Amino acid sequence: MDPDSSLPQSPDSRPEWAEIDASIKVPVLFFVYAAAAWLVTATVLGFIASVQLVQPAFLADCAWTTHGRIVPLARNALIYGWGFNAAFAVLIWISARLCRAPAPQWGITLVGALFWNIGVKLGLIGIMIGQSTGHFLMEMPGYAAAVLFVSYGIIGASVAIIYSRRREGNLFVSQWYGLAALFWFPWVFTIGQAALVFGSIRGTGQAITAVWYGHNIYALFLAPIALGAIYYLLPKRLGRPIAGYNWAALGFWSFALFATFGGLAYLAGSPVPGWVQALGVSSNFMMLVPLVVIGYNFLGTMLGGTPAGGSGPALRFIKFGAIAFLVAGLMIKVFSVPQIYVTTQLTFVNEAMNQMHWYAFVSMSFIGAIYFIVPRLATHAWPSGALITAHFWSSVAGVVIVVASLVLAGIAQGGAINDVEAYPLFADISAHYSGYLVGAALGFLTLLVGQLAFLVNILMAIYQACFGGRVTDPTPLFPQPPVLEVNS
Amino acid sequence: MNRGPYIFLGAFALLAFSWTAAILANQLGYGTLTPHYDAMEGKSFPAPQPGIVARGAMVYTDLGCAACHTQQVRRADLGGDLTRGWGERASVARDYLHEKTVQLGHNRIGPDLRNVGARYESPEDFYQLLYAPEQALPGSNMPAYRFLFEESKISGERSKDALDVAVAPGYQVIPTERARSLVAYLSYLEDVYAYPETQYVYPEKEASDDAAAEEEGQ
Ligand code: HEC
Repeated sequence: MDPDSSLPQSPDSRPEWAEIDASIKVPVLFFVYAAAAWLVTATVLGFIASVQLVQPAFLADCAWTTHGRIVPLARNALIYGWGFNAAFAVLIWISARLCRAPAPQWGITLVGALFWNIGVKLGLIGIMIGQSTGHFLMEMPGYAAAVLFVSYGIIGASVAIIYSRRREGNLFVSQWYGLAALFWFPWVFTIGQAALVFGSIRGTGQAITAVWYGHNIYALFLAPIALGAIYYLLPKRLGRPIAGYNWAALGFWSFALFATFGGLAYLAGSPVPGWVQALGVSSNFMMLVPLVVIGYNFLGTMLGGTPAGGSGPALRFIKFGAIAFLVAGLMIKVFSVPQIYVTTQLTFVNEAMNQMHWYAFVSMSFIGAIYFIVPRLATHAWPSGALITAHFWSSVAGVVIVVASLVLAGIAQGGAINDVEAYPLFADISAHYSGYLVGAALGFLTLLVGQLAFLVNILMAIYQACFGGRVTDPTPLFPQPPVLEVNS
Repeated sequence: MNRGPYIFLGAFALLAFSWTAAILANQLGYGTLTPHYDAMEGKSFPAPQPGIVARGAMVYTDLGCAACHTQQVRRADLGGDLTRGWGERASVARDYLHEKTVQLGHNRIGPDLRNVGARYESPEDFYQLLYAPEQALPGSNMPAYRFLFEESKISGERSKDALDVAVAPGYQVIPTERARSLVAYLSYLEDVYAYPETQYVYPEKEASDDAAAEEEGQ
């Protein structure tokens, strides 16, 4: 396979890329497909869950579909189904490209990929039939976790081999994030599972471990890979190096150091030792350091303008993800102010922040990276530009509606719960905010429209990649700014 | 410059630090937290969970009641928990020592349940609520858990366990084993004992004299 014909005059088309791309094409396209299918599943489940909040009788007659099970199903499908599959695709691509090294035996990676998805399915079935462990993001029963662990071993090993073969001595910032995430996830997973699912920590120490785990799945795996994708694509698509690149190392280390404790802030006011609460809340404030540094890197690069000839569909999503990262960081600080969290703690604001981190930042960045990666592997432009536009605008509208509705619902809910005189009954409290929940349900529907467009486009792209021969006329979806990362 | 090894070592150190601070330190701290033996009453607190209560806790976990309910009463300066009557005092770590799976929860779509056992007089009230919440609490958003009950034809005499709910004539509604254990668990949820450390979270009641000696785990 020779991508030259589709990607003329591009540094992307040095002959060795053909070898590298061939070594990762099948598993990466599989991850992309699986990710998109899980994304649709997770959003359907999220929609059902939000309808149930307004219509409690909806699907309440069978234990499998009660709200208490749909909620963890939606969350796990979003994180382990969509998030991890997409992260693997992005991680493998970025590693292979930036290391200029091919992956080992793609068949083995594919086996890992298949088993990962079997593990997620087993886990979801386990939750559905009542085997949930009851710990946040660790609800999947132990046997499913074991399958995930082994599959990660296979996938992770093939990424590690790419790094060990690298022909490019310099490690670009995207690779630091990728390498660290690759290493962190299995430890976070092992620690969490060993403490809660296979071992037993006593009392509210369980809650501490669970928020540590749940938040670090984001802070030490999904977020680093998403940040790596932004650092990779901004300079590539904009045709200029990262602004203030020398500061990126500070951003990297300070992000990991403070974000890893951020989850503990969820326990402010809970029956856990006071220093745990203080550590969580103060870490959220210290996140200002990475936020300023990474914000300077991102905004400084973005504000330089778009190169002539447009920047392609990937960049829109990436820009949105970069800005959402900064906005989420600021929101977390606002909700860590004691006078504010008195109201917003233990309300829908928690869910809003999850959507902000997982969807607005991480998912949008992954989607941007996927829009960049797939045409190169398929050696075809995206089958439909209109579907991409639809996906972008419905994602933006959907995520804004979902987050805004949940924040407003949470503020109304928390205020009403604390105001016993005005809202003595829970029926009054629910009535006070249920309008916003209708908004959230509509937001999920809006997201779903775009995600279906995404899935259709991916299926068509994969079909073209398998049976479509080779494209000779690259559409304007393929502007080719010079590659800058590797030189910096 | 090849920074690979530094990144690797740094990432390792960072994770080790995170684990030590957040997990290990707490594991050690919680290791010293034990039930409190009250010599006057000749019992230890929190009270151990009988088998049916422990099974009920599992039903609570697997049905995901925690998606809508918390189990943590916060201090008076952190919201309206105490004014709402969700407990006589704020929760402390020791209250949860016998919970196999601690379900603190993160969203209060429904009321806090940490002391719900103190608010409901009889199991019958809980059954009513689980079977037909909109009758027990009009306008409520609590979903009905009908599948925890069996509707059967009355043969001979009406069962003494049958619920007092509207049902077709000649039929009765009986709680299943799962409903019984869930309700046993809900009735068990009642943290009223004043531990030494609760003087900080239970300002109205006088703390016992020997309290200051044991402050851990508050
Ligand atoms: C969809 C969210 C939801 C789920 C899931 C849910 N509940 Fe509720 N629950 C509520 C709401 C809302 C109320 C408040 C009803 C009212 O007072 O109007 C409530 C009230 C209650 C009450 C009465 C509390 C009091 O102080 O009066 C109990 C007991 C209860 N729920 C138990 C449970 C159990 C047990 C489960 C799991 C099997 C469960 N709930 C699952 C929403 C939920």
